Amino acid sequence: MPMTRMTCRRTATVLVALAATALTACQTLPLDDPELAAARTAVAQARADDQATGVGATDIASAEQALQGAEAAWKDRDADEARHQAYLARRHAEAALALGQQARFDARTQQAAAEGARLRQEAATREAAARQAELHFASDQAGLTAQARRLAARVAAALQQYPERRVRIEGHADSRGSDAGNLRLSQRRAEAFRQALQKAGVDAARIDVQAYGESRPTADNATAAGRCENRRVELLVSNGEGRFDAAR
Amino acid sequence: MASNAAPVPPPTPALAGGSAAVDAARSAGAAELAPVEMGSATGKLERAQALARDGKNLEARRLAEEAAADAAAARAKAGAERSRRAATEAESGVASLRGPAPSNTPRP
Repeated sequence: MPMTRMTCRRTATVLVALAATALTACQTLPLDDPELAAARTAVAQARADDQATGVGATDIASAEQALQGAEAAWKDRDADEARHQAYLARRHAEAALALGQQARFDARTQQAAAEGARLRQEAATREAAARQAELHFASDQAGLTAQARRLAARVAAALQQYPERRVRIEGHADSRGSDAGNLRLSQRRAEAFRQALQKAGVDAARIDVQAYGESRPTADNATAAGRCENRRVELLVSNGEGRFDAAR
Repeated sequence: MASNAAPVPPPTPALAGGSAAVDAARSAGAAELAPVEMGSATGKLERAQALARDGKNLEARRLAEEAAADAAAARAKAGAERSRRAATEAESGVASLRGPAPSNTPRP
């Protein structure tokens, strides 16, 4: 049927000419469509995102189905349906990507929360340590060392900045000697530091003194090093409400 | 355009789906957090309802479906934005904890 073939070829020529002159018209199909191309890009991007494929699996499935519909419609030369399906595909791909982003942000929030809890714990530990100081004494002596006097000056300066805080001085002794003697010795040690603080300008009303004798050792009294540890005063600075509980 | 094809059925399911998706996005705060997508969704849903009343079922169905897809994107973007704000806030909280810690209390 040579006549028919001739007719077909002529029609095809006319179509090609139309396509070349009227790319934006709906009746003729250009080689590709921006909406379809954008949908392919968006779906590929979502598919390549490891978070989106997890939390956005449903949207990716919708996007892929719509993209297939768009490609099929495009082949069938139904440009309106192709663009419609491509639009759906792009929007669902966007949704999947957003869900993936959300998962990443949520992970960052969780990490920050854990980090914050750790830092707050560290700060609390540091503050408790900073509010407690120890000073040591020679055997059977209650005289302050030079270091102790320097500390008294620093404590006095700090207390001036924080008028709501109080200090408690606790005196201790090692186990050598009698209990009664050690109680008196520990009292003299605490009083010595109290005098140093008062001399440095701290109001006596803000200072508590407590003597414990040998009753609260922090180290082994059987060794010289341990006894040295035990011959001490402990200095506690209160919190802002005047309480000492967090220091212990 | 499809005068001699089978008649297009009323787009009732698509309209219902679009309406539900828009409601869900609105509940997720999308009007505030993803206003562009949300505006597109509500506009298309309204046009779809009008087209359905005029018997333009194919166009109505497509617009209703697009409204649902807009709403899905709006909802997801709203969630991402809310999470982004939460992450930023949590991280700035950590940064302030890391800042110069006041050490006015004495150490031995």
